[in-house]
Amino acid sequence: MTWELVLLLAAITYVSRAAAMLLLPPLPDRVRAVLDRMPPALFAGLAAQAVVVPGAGLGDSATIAGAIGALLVAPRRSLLACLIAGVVAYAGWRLLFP
Amino acid sequence: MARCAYDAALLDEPVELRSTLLSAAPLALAIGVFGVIFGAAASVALDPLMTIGMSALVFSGSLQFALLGLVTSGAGPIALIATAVALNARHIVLGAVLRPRFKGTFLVRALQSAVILDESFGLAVASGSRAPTVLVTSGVLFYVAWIGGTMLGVLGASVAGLESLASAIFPVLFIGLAAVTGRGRDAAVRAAIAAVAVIVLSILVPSAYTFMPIVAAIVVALPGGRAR
Repeated sequence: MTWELVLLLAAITYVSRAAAMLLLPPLPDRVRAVLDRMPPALFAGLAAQAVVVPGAGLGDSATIAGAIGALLVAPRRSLLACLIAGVVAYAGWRLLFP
Repeated sequence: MARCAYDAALLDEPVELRSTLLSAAPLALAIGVFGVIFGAAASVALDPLMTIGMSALVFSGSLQFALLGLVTSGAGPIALIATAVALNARHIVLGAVLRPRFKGTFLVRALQSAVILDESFGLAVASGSRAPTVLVTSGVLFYVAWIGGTMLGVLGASVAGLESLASAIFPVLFIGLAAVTGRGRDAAVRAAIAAVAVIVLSILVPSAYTFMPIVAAIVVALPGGRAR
């Protein structure tokens, strides 16, 4: 790893963050509606990705217990509640099944 | 009347800042812990200055952990660059979702873009019209937490007992962000379909694992009406 490579990786990351914010023209309502519907689906997909071992199946059971704990309180729409419920469920599972 | 509205806006500002910081604090704590883990792990393969420099310049936990794994396994620059391009692809989608909410000049948006990450994006989208303020406030807080955590890790701090919990936080965090950015049954159904699709396809087509969440989110968001 060299400093030149670190700078290049930082530039790639920044450009990916700024590209749409700087270059995207005003969007038609229909496209904006699709974009507005994406965040919860994107985060749900990322959550799902985090509990899967690619090509194998579901991952660590305590991690899945944590995710289920968070899912149970998700209708409250509180990030803090999800974090607390998830950590409690994870810790509870670890205690019960060490 | 205009003066009253102006005064009210001034009065609201510290309240908004406080509420944003309160919402972001648990996430900042989690990011700080990841920073410690990254700093401790990276200092084995990189020199301390480069470890901290990488966190300061790249500021992307998932990418930095992936890069570290590649570096320690002896991968070359091309593999590192390809990984950065693949893992950063979702930032383009995040930026596209945020763009209509940001009315600032080119320069202001260029600066705001630097703190787009999953967590600040989720809080910004959930905040509605306050998105620019929330993105920048939470993003700067997360940046400080990430750099501070990395420095502590490089200096030898240990969170050994928290490492397995730290990996379990990711799905919990994303479920929380899905909950706060979605509203109503329609959003919940789309999110559930995306999650199931990602699980099934990640098992069946592991080579496309990195892009699954973006593709699933686009596909489930397509059906429906116009913006209100």
